[in-house]
Amino acid sequence: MDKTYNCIDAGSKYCPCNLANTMNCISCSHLAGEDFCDCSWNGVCILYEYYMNNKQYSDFKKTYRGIVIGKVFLDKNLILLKIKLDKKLLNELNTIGSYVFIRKVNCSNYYDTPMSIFNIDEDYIYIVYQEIGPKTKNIQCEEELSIRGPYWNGIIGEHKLSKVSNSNILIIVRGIGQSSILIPLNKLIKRNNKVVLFLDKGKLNSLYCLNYISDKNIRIEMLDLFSSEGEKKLIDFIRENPIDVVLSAGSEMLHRNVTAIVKESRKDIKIFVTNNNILCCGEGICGSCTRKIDSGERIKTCKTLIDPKQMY
Amino acid sequence: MTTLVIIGGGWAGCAASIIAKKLGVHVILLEKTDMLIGLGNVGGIMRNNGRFTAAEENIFLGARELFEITDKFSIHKNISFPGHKHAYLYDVTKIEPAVRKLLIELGIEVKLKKRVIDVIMEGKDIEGVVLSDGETVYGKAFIDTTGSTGPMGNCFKYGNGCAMCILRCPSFGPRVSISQKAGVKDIVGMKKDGSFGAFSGSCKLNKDSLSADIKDKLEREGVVILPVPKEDIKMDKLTKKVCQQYALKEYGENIILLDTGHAKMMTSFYPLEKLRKIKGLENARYEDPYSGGIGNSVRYLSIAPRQNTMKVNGVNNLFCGGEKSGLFVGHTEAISTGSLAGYNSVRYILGKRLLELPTELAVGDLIYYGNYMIQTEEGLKDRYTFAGSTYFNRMIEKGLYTTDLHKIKSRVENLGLLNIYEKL
Repeated sequence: MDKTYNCIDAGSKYCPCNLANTMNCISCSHLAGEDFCDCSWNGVCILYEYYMNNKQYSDFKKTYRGIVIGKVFLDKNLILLKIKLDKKLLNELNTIGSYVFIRKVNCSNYYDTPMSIFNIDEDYIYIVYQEIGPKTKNIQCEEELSIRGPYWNGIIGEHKLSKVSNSNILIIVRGIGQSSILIPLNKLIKRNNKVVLFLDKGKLNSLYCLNYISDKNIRIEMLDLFSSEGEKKLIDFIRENPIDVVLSAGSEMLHRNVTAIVKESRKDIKIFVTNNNILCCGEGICGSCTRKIDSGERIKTCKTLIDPKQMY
Repeated sequence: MTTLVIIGGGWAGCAASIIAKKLGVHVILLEKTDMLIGLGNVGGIMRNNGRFTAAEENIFLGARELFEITDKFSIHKNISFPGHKHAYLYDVTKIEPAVRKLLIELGIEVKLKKRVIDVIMEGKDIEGVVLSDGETVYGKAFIDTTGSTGPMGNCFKYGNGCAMCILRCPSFGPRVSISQKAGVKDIVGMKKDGSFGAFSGSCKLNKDSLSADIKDKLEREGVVILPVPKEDIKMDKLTKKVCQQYALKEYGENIILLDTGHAKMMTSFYPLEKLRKIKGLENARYEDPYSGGIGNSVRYLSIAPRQNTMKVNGVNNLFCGGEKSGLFVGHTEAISTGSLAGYNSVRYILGKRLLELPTELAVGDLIYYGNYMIQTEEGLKDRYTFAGSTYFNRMIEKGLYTTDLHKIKSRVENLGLLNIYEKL
């Protein structure tokens, strides 16, 4: 059989999900059609929950109405939206790696586009995106948006980044990757982590994340990560400093470079990367985010917790 | 330093770690819960029937420490109950700290609340094991003593659901088959009807919840036998339990209680409302498993194919012991198999030929016979213990069963195996 993995939704109120019903559960070997237990989920048994609930699976994530309160044009085609949201959804999104699917209210759900939560406060979420294709164009013209969530695997790692504490963390950010780092940054600092930020504006002309970073204790290094000088700086920093965790926020090329550097220098560093896969349903069903890993198995990155070293 | 990594801190893992440590290797014992000796925390029966012979054989072979502890903590010695003679019952409420102290004093690196979830392979060798917290533990040889019980999904599918047993899977996470992670498919035991697994054979009542009369008698004599109301006698349930040595007619018609600190009840489970119909048990409540009224843990779903040296087939440096190594029942059986696994893993590390115990010894014969029978379908439905049923009958037939210490000693000595576990 394919190996079972931990699932970002396991143990939440969204578990067991429809994948249990179709015998495609990511975590439970029984609910993936096997005869015996072979899971690494450390919590109340998913099979148990499923049967105790008379084989009812939890509903899909709900779609809410979001009211666009403000927008800022950060650069050409680069837009920040401030959206008022239902408190219930807001609470569930207030975690590292959270994302939602957004579309115009009158569009079909083919237009659902995944967006990571850039920032969050009591009543609002903030998202920053580039207006590029049919899904993103004209979103900013709307007063109301359909918002489906919560989804949590916007940052991929073998464990949950939100659990890391008392560690030295290097966050490497390039371009639109800035949209994913603010919540991790704030939460990781609260958990007594020491954070260093390597920041590259990439193809954008904006370092918008800097306007929202209030903590003066964060060391920020500006560099061009794809220049030989920048790469050397990164390699030297990883080799010479007691880094425990690296978060790569940017393109696939950035993830590949960072993972290669970590693999070559210090195997014990835990890596997390922003989820750049094509996310369409977020429920493990459509298959658009499927990714082949080193072992040859295919995993669904919208929900699977996995060490990025197996992907890059 | 050469490191031996033992996964699973039940009786088998503890026995293996002691033997290996005494031979001078660095031993790391990884246990997923916060207590050692696993099901030994709720068992307690030693030295009944052929287990007496086996215990003494182990002692003469050089595996004496754990038997010294179980003897020391026995609250009843030389008692009889239906089908069983000269049993010792140790106090399950006191024994674990003593075992833990011994292991730590010997210098074994005991790591509790460390659950192994995967292995790192290099060809047919295990390089290291990965823990659920992300840590990796490397070693030269490994012993899988993770048992064959649970986890919750298995107890649900092949039993009556999680009965909240001493393994506490919801708290400490599921058991992971190390041998299977290393690419060796598990063997699965069956019930008499051909379905998978088997229920643990006993549960425990809180002694204070029994009537004063029963409690007194139990503490005085070690055994209390109470007849089951005729309408509640269910003989077919005997076929579903692990402990075939307690699947006798008397165990269907009576409630048999043994004093192991708790009131050990020799039945897999018993509905509480029916139990409370019995005189003296009107206020009874379960101590282990907590939901003993609905079910018990399901076992024998994960056995590694192995040699009689306890080496797992198909992996160069993996050994096994306890229930992981066969359809064995009991602490004595776990200590017997675990000790040999510990001994041979050190011999492997040092590049020496592995020891196979001769079938002239009950311990060697059980290891051989269990391995032989597991390859047949009928054999998969049976259980093997020195204490009764198929294997004890074989012991008697082969003349292996004896309580004569001189005879046991000379048997071990004549085979050149006296204190063999202490020598390389």
